[in-house]
Amino acid sequence: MGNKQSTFRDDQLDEYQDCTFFTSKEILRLHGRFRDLAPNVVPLDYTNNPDVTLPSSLIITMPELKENPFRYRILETFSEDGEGNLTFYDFVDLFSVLSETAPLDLKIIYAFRIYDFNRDGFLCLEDVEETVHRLTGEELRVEERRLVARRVMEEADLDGDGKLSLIDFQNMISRAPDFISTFHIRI
Amino acid sequence: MACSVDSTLDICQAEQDSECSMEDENDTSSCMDNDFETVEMDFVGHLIKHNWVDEPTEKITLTRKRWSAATQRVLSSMPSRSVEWTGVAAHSSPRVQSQASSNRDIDKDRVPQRKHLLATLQARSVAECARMLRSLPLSLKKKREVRAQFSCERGRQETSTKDSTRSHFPSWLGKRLSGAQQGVQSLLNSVQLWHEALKQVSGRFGTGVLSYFLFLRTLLLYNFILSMITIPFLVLPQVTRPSHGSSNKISFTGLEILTGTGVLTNSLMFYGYYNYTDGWRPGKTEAYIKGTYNIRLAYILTIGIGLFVTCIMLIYSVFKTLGTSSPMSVSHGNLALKVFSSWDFKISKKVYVQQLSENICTHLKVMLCELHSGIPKRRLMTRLIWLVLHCTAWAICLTCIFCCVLGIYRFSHDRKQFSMNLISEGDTHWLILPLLVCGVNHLIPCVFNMLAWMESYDSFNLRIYIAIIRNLFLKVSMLGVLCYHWLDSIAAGKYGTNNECWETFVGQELYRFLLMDFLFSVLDTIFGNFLWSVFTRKILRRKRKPVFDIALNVLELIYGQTLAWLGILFSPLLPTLQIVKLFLLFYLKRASLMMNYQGPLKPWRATQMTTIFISILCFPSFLGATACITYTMWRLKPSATCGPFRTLSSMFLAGSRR
Repeated sequence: MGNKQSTFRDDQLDEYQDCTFFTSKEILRLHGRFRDLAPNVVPLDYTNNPDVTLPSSLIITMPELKENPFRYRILETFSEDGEGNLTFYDFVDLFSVLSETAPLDLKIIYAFRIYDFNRDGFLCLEDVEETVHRLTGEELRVEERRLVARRVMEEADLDGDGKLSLIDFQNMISRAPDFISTFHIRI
Repeated sequence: MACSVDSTLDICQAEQDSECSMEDENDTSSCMDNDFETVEMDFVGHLIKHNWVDEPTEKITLTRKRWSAATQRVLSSMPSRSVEWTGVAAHSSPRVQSQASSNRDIDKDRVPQRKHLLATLQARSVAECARMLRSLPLSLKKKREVRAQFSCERGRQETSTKDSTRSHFPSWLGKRLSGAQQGVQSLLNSVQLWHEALKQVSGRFGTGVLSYFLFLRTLLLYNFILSMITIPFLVLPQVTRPSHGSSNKISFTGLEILTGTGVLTNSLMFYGYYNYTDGWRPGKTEAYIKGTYNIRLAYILTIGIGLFVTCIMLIYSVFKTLGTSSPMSVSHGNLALKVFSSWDFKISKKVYVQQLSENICTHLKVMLCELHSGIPKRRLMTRLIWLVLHCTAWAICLTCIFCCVLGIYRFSHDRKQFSMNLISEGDTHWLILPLLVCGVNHLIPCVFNMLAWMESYDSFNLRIYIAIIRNLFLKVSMLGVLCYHWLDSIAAGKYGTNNECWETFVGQELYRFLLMDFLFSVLDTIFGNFLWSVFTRKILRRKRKPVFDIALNVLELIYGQTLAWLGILFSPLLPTLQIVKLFLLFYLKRASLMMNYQGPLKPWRATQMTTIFISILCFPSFLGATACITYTMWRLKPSATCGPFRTLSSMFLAGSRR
């Protein structure tokens, strides 16, 4: 597999296969997608691991991410610099975690990071409010959103410290029967 | 050396969990800090010795008891194993803000933790390592570094130890097996049939509707594998040595495709053609002349192996879906779950994103209302009416099913009289029974839908389950009565005089049923869906298009597949026909979906539903078909004038005679 392509060496493809949930064919396809975003910037030959970063403004033009209300947070979570600018590694990592075969635990961790808007390691009331805001747009009024957020906190906050830790989040999401299939982007 | 690494590991996440919960401090962060500190305490000596540590970053303050590596290995495979990594996850951000470097990983600050990870990896086999590495919440760059370090270290270990506790053979075998598994996996992934089409569907309609098409693709795979087993061993040998059938030429009219009679009777399609006797004369029942290829054994073995492989694949699918889905939880009223898990990340078109947004908003509002005012308690009178309504609906359903079953049974029993009155010539009268059964299968669910609308269930999921149960009951009864009719007629020798070859006859019946089912699906999709969509928009004046009924369509697929499995013994090419049918159905359903339907209004529990449907496919469908086939092969006497088993009293005796 992949003998004829010159984008990656075989050992690089092995590396990708060991570290992500993709096969070599899918990695090559992802490289094609990454390159399509900026053909002049992203080289075809990745054998020397060039350090190419694409800005977030370019990546959110992808049809899979364009209409997602959490697109900026997703990019920020997976980017190395925290600003949403992705290297190819970050790009592959993003779609690997959001792939079909990624395990539930891993998805929960990254979902937690995505919903943590102020990046303090916890989901506080403001984070939940912002999540509801992104989900519903302007359909709900501010008081309604706050009410929902408070109610969510009551339901999910098991240790009573006013914010959701990863453990609380895990306990809650593990009961959701469909999280693993909705937290999935097909690429 | 590997052993010494293991013994110094001694951290067990689950015991950590239990300790934390037992202490009931709710201060999980301090638990995790303790975890890290303990790691450091255990490793400082070992790490300094190997020059892995840059410099210790935290003071060693605690002591903890040691857990054995065996305990750790067992418990780390439990679902809560991610607690350690959750420590990584939860604490990544606060540390990061104080550093300008990596956003995602805290390895700079947690170097000893990385070493702990390396040591853990070394204790595992290659496949487990890869699996563990993949599920780490580290960035890809860091994972590569870990992997590089780990393979370097592992290579060094394997070359340097002379009397390693691990023998070389199992590790070599492990590598080969994992390589083979990856090869198979990549092969399956490379045949990514309809990848773009499925993406388009999921982008517009979400995960629920996608699950129907994925199910269709899975069935295609099963039929493909079945065909791959039967065609080379059964069909091809027969093709190379055509049997001498009746000499009179039968003219080919187009109707044969539908009825399976005429030209097709003595063709590769059906059982009767399969014999391997040179010098067979019609009318003379000669002893079976064995050629070089034992078609009898081939027949039994191919069908047996094909069904066995299908069984394995089905059971594997059931366990795979069971593993991913959590137990059925009542999420009614659970606001937190709604907020965090209801967004479908696959939806990509703006219009549908807006629709999803509105749906979620509506649900949140309803939940808020219920929380404020509580779910209104029903008065006794309302409850009574509700109960009566449900009982009536169920009574009507069961009566419908019973009447249909009785009707079909009577008709099939007295087929001759009925059909002679209606159509007197040709073979078209054989089409009446399939027509009736398909008509019942497509019209009665509409009755069920109307009843469900009348009953107006509160819970969407309950309505889906009730619909599935009713439709499943209908289809199982239909198939049951048909199987009974066929087996009964064969046992009573009804086919003895009229049809000399009962196997071919049953094969033809199943062929007709399959084809008629396909035709009805096509007509239903083209006309029924289109008309219904126009009806709802123009007459009922609803603003939105109707919703795609996933459950009903999946049950239809399961019904079709059951027919294919039932018929494989009598018509070895039936799975191939099923492949063609599924292929065409995919494009048809997709076109109809794009034109006539909109995305689901209520969240569809894709994972749970997939588990239910795969289980239905496995349990009543596949097992029922296999049971019928086994009974036929074991108890029924093969017909004396056709087929490869003609001189035996039971098909299972094929292996005994020489």
